Amino acid sequence: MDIIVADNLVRQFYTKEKPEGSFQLLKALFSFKKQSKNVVDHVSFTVRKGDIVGYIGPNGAGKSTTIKMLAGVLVPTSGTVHVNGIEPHMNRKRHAGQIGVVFGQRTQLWWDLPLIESFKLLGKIYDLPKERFKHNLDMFTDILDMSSFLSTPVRQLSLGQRMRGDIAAALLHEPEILFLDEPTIGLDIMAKEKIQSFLQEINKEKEITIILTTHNMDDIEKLCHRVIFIDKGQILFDGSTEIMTAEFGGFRYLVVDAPNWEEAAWNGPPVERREDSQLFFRIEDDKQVASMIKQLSDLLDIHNLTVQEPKIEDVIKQLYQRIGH
Amino acid sequence: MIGRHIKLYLAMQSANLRSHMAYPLNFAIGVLSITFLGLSFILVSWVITQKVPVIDGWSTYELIFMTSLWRTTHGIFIAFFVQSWFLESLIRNGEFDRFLVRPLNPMFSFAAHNIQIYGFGDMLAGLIGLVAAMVHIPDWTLGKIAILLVIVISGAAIEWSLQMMIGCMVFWTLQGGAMRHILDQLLAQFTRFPLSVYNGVLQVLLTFILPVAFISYYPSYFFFGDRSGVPFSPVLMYLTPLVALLLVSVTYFVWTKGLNAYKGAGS
Repeated sequence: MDIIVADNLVRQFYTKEKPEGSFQLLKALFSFKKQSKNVVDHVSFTVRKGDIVGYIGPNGAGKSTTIKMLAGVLVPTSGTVHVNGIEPHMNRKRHAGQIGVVFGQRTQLWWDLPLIESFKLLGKIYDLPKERFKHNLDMFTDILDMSSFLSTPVRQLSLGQRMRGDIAAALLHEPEILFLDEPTIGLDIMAKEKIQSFLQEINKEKEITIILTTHNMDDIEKLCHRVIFIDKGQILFDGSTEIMTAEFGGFRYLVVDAPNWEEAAWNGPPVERREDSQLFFRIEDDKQVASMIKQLSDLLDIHNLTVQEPKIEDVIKQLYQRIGH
Repeated sequence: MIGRHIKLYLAMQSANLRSHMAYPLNFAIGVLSITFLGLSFILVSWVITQKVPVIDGWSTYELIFMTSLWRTTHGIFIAFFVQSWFLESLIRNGEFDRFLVRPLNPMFSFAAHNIQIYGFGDMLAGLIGLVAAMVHIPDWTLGKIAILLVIVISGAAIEWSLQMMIGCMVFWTLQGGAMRHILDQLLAQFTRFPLSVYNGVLQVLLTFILPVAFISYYPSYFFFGDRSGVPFSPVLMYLTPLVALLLVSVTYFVWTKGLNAYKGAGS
């Protein structure tokens, strides 16, 4: 079942043309020349219930603008969006009940109050019956492991704890769809993994549909079934992560464990990446493998050797390079 | 429905208040210093009348009454609605979007977003000034005090409306915050001395265009014995609640339009 249907979404913004030369400021004050720009430019996609979709692209690509239209904050200039059959901006309040939103950089928690107080207030804001509120709070406290800091003021929480709090806050009213804007930004590995496994869990158990924007390739690799890549307001790729890897990967790595490799003396094929004693050589074509192994074994003392699929991160790099970033 | 909103408002504002209490020293010093600052402004009226005993027919205590009336309404505005000053930054840093993803009227979320403790300092100073003046103004009845309460609330509503209308400019322009400094000056200056000391153009401006004079000047006449000096028409001294109602309606209309412009719902 398609829970989100976006059809030819366009969001236009007007910007004032910036006058040049002397008296810029004065000219700007009296200039009425406006330029319009399609920040989101005829974007269409559907999302099935229970999917986790990574919405990615460079800064300024139109990611947040799309999310804001899906959340009912912005009205599309043209095109339509339906979430669970509702047009978000037409029925904003009802829509608000079926979505949860986390803006990673901006908390919705009361900064100076114990975390639990924010939850209680949100329970009132969403008009949750007492038992349901208590049930949900207990559940999230348990799986997000929050009991140790429920009564700590939010300002004293670590970033990871705060993010867990923010995600729980967005889910207390049992929304069907969760929008996450950079949920793992700035988090250490442990905190990141906690959040990723939690998102996986609620997605599986509650069938919550998750749309997340991220610059963290880890999130996509671990969480997303599907990736939508957007740049300059247009979708450049939309499909499963496997297809993306096949289409934009198209290469593999020959990984060689060679502890006594020295960069200065190296005159073999270019080393693309190095992790500890592992050297990554790029292979565009499988026919190269044999000859490259031969070449390398002449030059290096090889302890181990594998052929690896590219990581999503490498694939995304390819995508970015193709669009000229 | 209304009951739920009142309860929710109280819950949210009490949370905001407790947030301030997290810094008790700031809280105490903030309220006290603003109280003294407010009182010192009120005292200026007293100092002036030591040299010029009667200003355009107004005695010391009548002047103190007028300026204290504004100080009180201003305190209410600051305490509960000062966020209209900060609409611009709320929108620019994206916090405003939060109000649009909650199942509440955005105006409600906005109103319940902040409580500013310094307002209580102004209110306290205003109340002290009012009581000090009222002792010297004859013929107080319970009815008059009830009307004074209505006037105070209406005055706060007028200030809120004017501030909000300027604040709402940001929906269209993403700027406009500087405009409020002009309004702040008008409010602080023209609520302290009788309108009649200023020239005719200003009188028209402050009565019919930016109705600042309805906050403290016109309604003060209602409580004084001598009402002969009311400019334009004596009816004006009864009109404060009506002006407030009208302005609040217009402001809500402007807010709705502004919100639509912000969301990009056509022009």
